[in-house]
Amino acid sequence: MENKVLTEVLAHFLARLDSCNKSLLIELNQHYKELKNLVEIQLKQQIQLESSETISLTQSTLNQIGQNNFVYFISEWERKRPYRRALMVTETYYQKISEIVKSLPSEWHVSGNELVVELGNQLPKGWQQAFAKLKRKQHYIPLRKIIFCALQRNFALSAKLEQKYFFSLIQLVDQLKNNWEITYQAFANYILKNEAEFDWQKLQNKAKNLIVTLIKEIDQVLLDLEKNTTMISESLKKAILNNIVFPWQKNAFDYSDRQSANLLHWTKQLQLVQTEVSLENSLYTSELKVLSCVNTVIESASLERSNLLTELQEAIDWLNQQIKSTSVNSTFPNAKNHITPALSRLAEIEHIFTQGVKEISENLEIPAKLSFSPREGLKIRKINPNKMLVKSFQTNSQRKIASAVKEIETENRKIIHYIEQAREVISFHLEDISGNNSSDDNQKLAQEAFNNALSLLEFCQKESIDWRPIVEKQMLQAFINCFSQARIILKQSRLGALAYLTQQDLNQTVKLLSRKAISLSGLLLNKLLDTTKFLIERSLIYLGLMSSSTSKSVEISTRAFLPQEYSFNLQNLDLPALYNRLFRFEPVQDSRFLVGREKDIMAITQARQMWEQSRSISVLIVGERGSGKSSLINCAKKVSLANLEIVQGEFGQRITTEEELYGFLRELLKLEPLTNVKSFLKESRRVIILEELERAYLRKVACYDAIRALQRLISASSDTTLWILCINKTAYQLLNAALGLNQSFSHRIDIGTASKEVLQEAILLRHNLSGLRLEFISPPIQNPFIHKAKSLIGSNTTDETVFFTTLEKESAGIFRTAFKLWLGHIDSIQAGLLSVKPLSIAQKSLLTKDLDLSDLFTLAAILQHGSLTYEEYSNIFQQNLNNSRRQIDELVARELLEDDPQKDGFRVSPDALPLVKEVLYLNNLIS
Amino acid sequence: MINSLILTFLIWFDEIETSLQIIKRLSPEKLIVALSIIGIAFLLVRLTSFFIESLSQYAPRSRFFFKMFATVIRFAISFSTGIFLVVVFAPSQQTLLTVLASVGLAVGLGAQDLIKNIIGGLVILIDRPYQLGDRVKIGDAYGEIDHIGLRSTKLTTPDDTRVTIPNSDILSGKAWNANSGVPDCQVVTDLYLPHDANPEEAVEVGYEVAYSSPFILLTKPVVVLLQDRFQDGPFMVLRIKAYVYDHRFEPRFQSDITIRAKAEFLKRGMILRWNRHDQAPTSEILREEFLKVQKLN
Repeated sequence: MENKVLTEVLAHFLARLDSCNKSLLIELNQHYKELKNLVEIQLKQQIQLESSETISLTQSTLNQIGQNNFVYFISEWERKRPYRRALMVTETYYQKISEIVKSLPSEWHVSGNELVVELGNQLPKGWQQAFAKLKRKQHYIPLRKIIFCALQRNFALSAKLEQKYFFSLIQLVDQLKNNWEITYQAFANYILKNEAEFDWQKLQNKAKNLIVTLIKEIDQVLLDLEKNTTMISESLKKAILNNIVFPWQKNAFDYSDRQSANLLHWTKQLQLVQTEVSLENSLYTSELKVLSCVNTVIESASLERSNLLTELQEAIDWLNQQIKSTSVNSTFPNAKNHITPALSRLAEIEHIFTQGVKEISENLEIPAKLSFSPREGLKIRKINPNKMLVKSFQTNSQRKIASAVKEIETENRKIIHYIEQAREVISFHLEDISGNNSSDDNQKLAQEAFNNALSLLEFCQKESIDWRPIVEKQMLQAFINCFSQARIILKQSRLGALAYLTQQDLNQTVKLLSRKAISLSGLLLNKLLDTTKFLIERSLIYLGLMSSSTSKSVEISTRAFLPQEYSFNLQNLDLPALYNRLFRFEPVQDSRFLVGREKDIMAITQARQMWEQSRSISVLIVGERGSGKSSLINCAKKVSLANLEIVQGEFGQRITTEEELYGFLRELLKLEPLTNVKSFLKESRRVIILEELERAYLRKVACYDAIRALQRLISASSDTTLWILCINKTAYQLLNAALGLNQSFSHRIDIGTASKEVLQEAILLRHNLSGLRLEFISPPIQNPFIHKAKSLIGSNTTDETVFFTTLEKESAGIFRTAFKLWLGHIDSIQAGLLSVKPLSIAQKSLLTKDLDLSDLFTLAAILQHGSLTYEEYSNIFQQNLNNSRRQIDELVARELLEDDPQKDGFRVSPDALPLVKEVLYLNNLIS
Repeated sequence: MINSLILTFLIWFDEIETSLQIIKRLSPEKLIVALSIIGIAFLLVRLTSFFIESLSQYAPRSRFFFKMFATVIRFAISFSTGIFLVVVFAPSQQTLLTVLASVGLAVGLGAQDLIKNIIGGLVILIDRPYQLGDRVKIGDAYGEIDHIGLRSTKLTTPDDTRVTIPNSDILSGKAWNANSGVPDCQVVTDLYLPHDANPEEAVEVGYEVAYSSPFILLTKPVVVLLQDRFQDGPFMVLRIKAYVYDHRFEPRFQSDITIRAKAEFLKRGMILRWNRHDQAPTSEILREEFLKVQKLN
């Protein structure tokens, strides 16, 4: 009876087991197919990249591509959840099996013979069956345990197949993301226009091949699993028989812990892949959001431009009206619009970006590598995608975006600038005309000003570039580059730098590098050969084995002149009258043109205030010729010294004795001969301004008396007379050392030389009032390597900056020289556009080497005295007149000296002044 | 003799390479490499000197700064060359030690002076009592340093004579440096005046003369001192201490001061009364003046 029940029990158990196995296989197959279908459809998706250079179009293209290639599949995958369901099915399957096993009786009494009779045809044939038949005694068998162990062994065998199945499945899931990455990369490369570096087809084929391999693997795994299930019943019966044959055998195999570990591993792996997919999704969403917001910024900037253009049109209409009418009957239209500075626009965009990427997590765990089983472990990398994205923005995009917004500001500001310049031109000339009596001239100048201003505005209207396509494209590329680079960084941090590089086409890079290295070594070899040949030749000449005359070079020695960059005649330049008027070499009268002298004016004002408090005040203004001493005095008279009695004069003749000085002062103060100057000065308060103090002495024994007397007079009368004296710097250094000149003055204003910014401001201020547009011609690239290196580190400057930097060096900060160099470098004036040639650095070394000691002494002496006659020169150097004449004439021929147009004698040519000063400094003759 | 001693010393040790082994080491390739290293070192020294000299000529004011590097670079190149040569021939550790010991022996026997000079050169390089271009007085020699070598220092006197001084002499003796790495240096000019000359006027002339000279360096002060002296009779010494802008012009500065001062003293009648005549003094006038002075005495 019992035996019959065993048969039934076993049959019932096996039937239930079979049903479980079948349902598991069906489910696994179904979930795999769902995923397979998703991946295959995704792979078949075609992307259509249309020419979309605007942000809004690109945004919609990205949206479309993302929806069709990523979002749809991800949502489908999340809805169907094939992997998770496969995991659940497996878990349920194990639970069901354990329940079925529990339903079996725990133990059974049966003899070996009975067992063979009962299950004979189902048992495996062999010696075990024959041996069992011999066991006629009833045995106790732990049926549940035997079956459990047998099943566990079977599970252990099929675990590898399950691992393969889940590993391939998770790879398929990962492929959903990878396919999107390839599509996105194609899109980004299309936008960034570097298709050459990217082979989309190749990557897609690679993905296809991988998917085909995975599909094959999973199909095979499912077939193997099916085969395995058919063998379960046989193995169970064999286990029961073995228990009869080998009763001492222990049935203690348990695989359930490993099963749980496997399930946990697959679940964890799924979570990590899911995190990655979500990250990709949030990157995509953020990118769309950022693009949309940036589009709004562009729109607002565009609106700003159209408003400015309207204002420009109004100004043009007004000018046209003025040109037609004979008199000025209204004022220039007022300014209406404002410009958003580039910095605030940049800050806005940065804010948009930060807000856009806010949703991207700051701490994530992603799998470095998908693994087969828990034994292989799970390599997890912790990343901060938010930080990565911000870093990518700062590295790859911020500069481009900054330049784009700067471009917006520059272009918009250009319109405002032109309008303002036109306004200034009009107002300056109307003011200028109002002070002029000649009506014909006035009419002519007014027409010229209106025409210049109109041509300026019309040019602006004509040439005003619609920055939108360029800037929009620039910004678009910057953002796409940012997100694309962020993805690359993410991939790198996931795989590790080396693995990433290996995944890329490293071979091509190596090939390219080696090709470059070969061509470079060829060049180097050629250079080396030339150098060796040259060195051998030089060595032979040095050793006397070869005459230097056999060398092919022809040597021509010439006397060194002032470099051509300095010596040119302004008379030969055909400049407009308006321009010549603005840049005339005269001391400034209008304080608007006095640039960078605020501190100096303040010092004079302060000196006046102190003097008005009856303190003994005297001011010494020290500065090079042409550095603006007279301009400073002119403006100080109007600003700081207004409403005071001012007596102004300059030492026109050389004065060396006390008598000559007093004679000069009496003449200046319009006094009778023999009047006591000191008493006269004590009688009333006044300001005495004396320029060119360097002419009040001669560097010779007993020729410092005039200065000494002046020092005494200043000390005695400075409580009632505000003395303001001007002297050049070189003379000051000598007189201060010899006579302690500095001690006689309460204030010393060392006006120094003008900086680059001041020179630029002074020149552009004058230029802008001409109403002409300005263009700097780019200098030719001297050394392409240096140029490339500069552009790589981002230190390439504009042509304007290069020009003014060189101008500062070449003019040594002296206004007069700077103005002359500016005028001399005007290339052309055509259609209201003034083109300025690049300023080259003069080669001074030839002249520097060519000057001997007596030349240097002569130049230093002339600088110390302002100018020298032949007689004065012979007195100073104790030479006869002929020698003096020869020395000075030689330097005149070298164009370093010239006949002083206002005073007696020779002066250092204003063009040569920077060079002379440099040479004297290098020789330690001046400090 | 020294060579045979070294060879005996080398063969004395079993483990040390024999002279044959050492000669075997000198393969043609190694010799070529060694010669190339020496050639490159020579070229480097020449190029550096040329470059520094060009810079010094362009900016005489800063020549001391450039020249400061010349000696250091030459020393560095010499030592690096020595080290490279050792590396090229790569003797065994024992051989190297033996060679060093032999060098020590050689020094003990006869090359003491050479080693002293080399050490002196190194000390000069580190201690820097002077540098290239300085105006110094070493022993009896006075002039501008134009070479500091491993063995000796060379200077050129104002008479354009080159003096070579072994470095060991400099190490043990005194060296007076007038400018210490700057172009200017103080120049003292003594002028002699009769004891009855007006001292205030003399000092005033002294100052004005110094400041009128084109050689003066204006950034440093001028000091004029006056002193009574007696030697075969009383007289006054007017000492003018002023800085010349470049020490190479020291004699010319002195000369310029003397010429200017004499002219002024003559003009003012502070010396040689015959200068009161408008014409230049003839020998008859000088004779008359001399007789007058004799009569007075």
